[in-house]
Amino acid sequence: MVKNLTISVLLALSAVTSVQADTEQSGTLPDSLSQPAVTSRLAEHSMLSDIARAGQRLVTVGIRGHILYSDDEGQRWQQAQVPVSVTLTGVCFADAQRGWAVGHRGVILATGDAGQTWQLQLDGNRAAVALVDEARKQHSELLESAEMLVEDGADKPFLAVHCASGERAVAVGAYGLAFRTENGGQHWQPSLAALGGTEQRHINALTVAPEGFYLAGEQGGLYRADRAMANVQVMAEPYEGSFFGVLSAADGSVIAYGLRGHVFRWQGADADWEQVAVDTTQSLTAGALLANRAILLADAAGAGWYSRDGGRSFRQVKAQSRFSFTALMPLQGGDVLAVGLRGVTRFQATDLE
Amino acid sequence: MVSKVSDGFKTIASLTDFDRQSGNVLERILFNYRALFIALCLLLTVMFSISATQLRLNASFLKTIPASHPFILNYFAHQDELKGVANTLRIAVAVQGEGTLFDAGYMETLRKISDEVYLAPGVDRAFMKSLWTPATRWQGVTEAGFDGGSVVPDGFSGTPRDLEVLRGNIELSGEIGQLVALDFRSSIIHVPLLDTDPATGKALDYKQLSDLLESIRTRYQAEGVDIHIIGFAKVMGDLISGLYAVLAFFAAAVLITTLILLAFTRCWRSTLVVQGCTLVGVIWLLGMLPILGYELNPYSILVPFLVYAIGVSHGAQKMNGIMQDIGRGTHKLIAARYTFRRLFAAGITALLADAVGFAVLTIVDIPVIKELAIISSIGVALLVWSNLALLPIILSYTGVSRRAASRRLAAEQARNEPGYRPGTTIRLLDRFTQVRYASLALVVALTVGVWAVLEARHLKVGDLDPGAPELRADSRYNQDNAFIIGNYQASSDVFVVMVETPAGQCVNYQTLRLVEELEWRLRQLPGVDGTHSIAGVARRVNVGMNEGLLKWNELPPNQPMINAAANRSPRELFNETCELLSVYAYLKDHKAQTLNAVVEVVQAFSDEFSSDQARFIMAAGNAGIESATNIVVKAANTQMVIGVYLAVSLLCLLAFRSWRATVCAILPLMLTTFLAEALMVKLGMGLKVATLPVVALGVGIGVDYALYIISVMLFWLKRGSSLSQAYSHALSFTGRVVVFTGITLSLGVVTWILSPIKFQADMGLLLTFMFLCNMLVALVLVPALACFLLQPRHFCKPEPEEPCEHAEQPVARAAGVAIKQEVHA
Repeated sequence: MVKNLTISVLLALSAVTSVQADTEQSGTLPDSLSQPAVTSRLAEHSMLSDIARAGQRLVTVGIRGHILYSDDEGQRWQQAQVPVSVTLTGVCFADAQRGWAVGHRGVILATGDAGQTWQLQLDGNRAAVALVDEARKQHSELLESAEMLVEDGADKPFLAVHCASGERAVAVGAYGLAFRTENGGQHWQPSLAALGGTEQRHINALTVAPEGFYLAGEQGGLYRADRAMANVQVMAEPYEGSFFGVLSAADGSVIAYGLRGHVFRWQGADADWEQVAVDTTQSLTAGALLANRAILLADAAGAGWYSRDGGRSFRQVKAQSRFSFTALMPLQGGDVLAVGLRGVTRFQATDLE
Repeated sequence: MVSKVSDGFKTIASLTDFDRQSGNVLERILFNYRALFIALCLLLTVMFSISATQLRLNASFLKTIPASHPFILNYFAHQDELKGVANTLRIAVAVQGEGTLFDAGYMETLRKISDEVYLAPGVDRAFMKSLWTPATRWQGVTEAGFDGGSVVPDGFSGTPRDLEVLRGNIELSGEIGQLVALDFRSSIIHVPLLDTDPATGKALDYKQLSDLLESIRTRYQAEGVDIHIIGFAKVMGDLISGLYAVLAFFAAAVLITTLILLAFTRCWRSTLVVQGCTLVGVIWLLGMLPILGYELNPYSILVPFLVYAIGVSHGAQKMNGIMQDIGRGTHKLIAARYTFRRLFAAGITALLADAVGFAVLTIVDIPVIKELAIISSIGVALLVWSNLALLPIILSYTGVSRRAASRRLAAEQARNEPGYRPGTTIRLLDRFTQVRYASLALVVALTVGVWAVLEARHLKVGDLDPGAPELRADSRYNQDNAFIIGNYQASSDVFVVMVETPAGQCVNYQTLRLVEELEWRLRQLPGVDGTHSIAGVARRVNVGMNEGLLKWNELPPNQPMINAAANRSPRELFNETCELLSVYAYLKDHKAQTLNAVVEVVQAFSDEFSSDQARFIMAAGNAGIESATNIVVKAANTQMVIGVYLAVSLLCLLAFRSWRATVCAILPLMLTTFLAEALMVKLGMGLKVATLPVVALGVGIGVDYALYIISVMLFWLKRGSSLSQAYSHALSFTGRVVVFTGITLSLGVVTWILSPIKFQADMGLLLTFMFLCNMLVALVLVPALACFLLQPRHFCKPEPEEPCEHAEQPVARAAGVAIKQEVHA
């Protein structure tokens, strides 16, 4: 008994000293650009910002470098190996294997195995240096802006990405950043045209059409760009608020949506942008083209807005659970998967008729 | 014949035949100046009664925490900066019946309540929040940038249009789940409290505040709203109210004990004297506390109950002796002096044994338990004077009822008749001295013991019930707590990790990265519901500054942006000089397992990452403090159990001078100890500040039974009685006293089971169990163990004058004369 007592006293003492001693030589946390994302059961319920399809597989990206993939139309998710832990904002796939994901701090990641493992191709530091080099080369007046980016370091996010093929992709982001690759990401080329054309306003989204890209962004920013991002032009500005998304519909029309329930539709050529009435003052933050010319938009308050007439009118639809949405993905069978603030939910096909 | 012999004391009917100078010095002083002594006691009683009115009941939670644990030292070091955090009341005003808060009547009632609470003493008015306070604002992003205003629109008059605007503003306020219930059927008034009432400069009176809140509740519930109030101050107020309820239990205990005592003595006079003297002892104790600077708290309020119960049982023993002497015809003064002579030393020994149990508690580093130990010891010391000295002196004046005394004597004499057959109970218990029944009893005890040990391994540390564990699960407070937890994003179990940084550097990007990392690690734990820190606020502000676009949810490596976010941060997240961050973890419950997991993660994180730039230390928040308490309680339990058993074993060895007898006394106590722990597991009670002292108290007081029984048995065994004879004698002499003591002790604490304070009910239940169970095992297991350990052969020394093996009745009877000096203790 005495022995036990002694032991417990010793244990108590050692517990006290270990707390007081603390460690003087402390470990340091790796930079978020080099800290691999942690696998967590919470990832599915944490913020997700975009979703893409790689053949039969769904791949979604989000906060803390989370990338999840599902082979059963979004029922069960597995977490990918990701070398960074910044918030990821966009994902796209060129085919069933090859894709890119972009995110904060100028991160561009690539995968060759349908999203199970990812490699870092670009970060904000390298991106800024590339911009300065490009500005010097072209003797551009944007050199000063580019140099400021280098000074700021890697703190600007990419916000969207488009994959054209396994070799070609375009990433766009804050302050008019745009980079493209022609060689599968071995080299990412900055676009001074985007920086200038947007007057360094955020580019929030892009969509591809046969004639090139349509970009949507901050403060009424609607732009047209060629495939090489060599020429970026401001389109008519029907609205001074920000656009968060843009869709190019099958009939050639372009639909841009954004702040406080604003939706505009453009039928191309000389037509004007027409405002479409949507009965909400919430920002529209996600959109997808569905079968049969149907369009689904979703807002920051978790409501869906459904159109069967190519975006001329919308009615409200409800998702299974309600949170702020960031992206939508039509599924086989007619359901639409929605991702956002609290992970994944879905709009059921029966509600979309 | 003037005198005849009775256990060595002559029966003397007349004072003139008595030698006033007989007895020891103390006896001569006390009895020869007995009038003076009574006058002195009377004076003391008056003095202490006056002093007792100054006694304060307090429920200070500071005393329930282990003050020298590193977590608590860290908490104290930063207490001032954390002040606004802990002490906040939340008052939920809910719509009765159908409907929502978008109702003119509801809003008007809410305004009235909000105004009234605003004026309550101790409210930190600048930081009070409700739908009506100007600080409650909505904010929206518009084409032009931010727009915002107060949630209740200017000139609000409750028109449908106003209510529609209100609804929109609430949606934009971010207060859904905070100030406004998720179902829109209630809203919260958030009331931070100051520690001192600015009007009076005195410490906030929780009782007064709680009473005011109850009055608001009663008045406005009549106006069609339900009111739910939670917060530390309300718990304290409810606890203090509960303490006053406990006073009523004392009255109940006195009443019940009076009846038992009356049944035991059949004499009003002596019953009143015993009660009076014991209460005098309790009054002295209560009067002495304010003089020594003590207050009574919900734990130490147990002491007057225990002291009272111990006092009554000792008083009753005194009565026993005096009655027999008076029954024989001894003069009451002489009878009183005989009793004093017989029992003073033995009484002091028994009270010392009780004090041992209390004294061991001082090793526990928790102020309330230390105070409990000290106050109990004082109480027991006072009993020496009130019940061992004052009681016989008063009896020397009053005497006892002649009829009761004769009855007692007749019973006594019947026992000494040759053909006397002991009662059924004694004969039943006597069987346990036979190998057959003893084996049976031991096998049953062993089985029960093994079961209890196995069961006791599941004993959890800490509080296991949700809500405020101090109060009952079905108490008003815990119902209110359940309402608010259910309807708001709120948790009542908060663990705060403090992060010390150089001054002004608390929001450095690198520090916030570490904070985020810690939060994310904590959130992986199943017991953690969520976390809150300046890092999370910085992320949300980043989203807000980018038009609410979720993709901007990142902690940017951009110090100006983070500084801007810090300016919008709630004040509980870092201190004014920006050298202390608070990281909040909201827990699902406060079970020990949950708390331990959090402590482990934080400790490992701190070991890995703490530096001069950011030092991660534990702990604040109710869960943080409870985790420290759990650690200390768990360690103390082992030490305390070892300590109390060492102490009582030593005491038994000294008393019996036989290891065999010591084993007979200690093993049954251990069975009760394990059974008590098993009972705690079965009843879902955790090992906590309230239940920790129970084992020490139970064992310390419980050993008395074995002391009574075994000392008599040894006396007889040494004189050659068979074990059965020895045990029968022990039962005849002390059985009544053992049972009476068990019953009075249990009755003293059993009323606590009804206490509105949960931990008092737990203490009452466990102590009652320990007292009764110790009594039963002493009566059954002591003879059963003795059957194998204490046979006459172990005591027979081959000395010619000591007859051995088969004791003869006359010898035994002669020996019985002498024994009474030793018994009765």
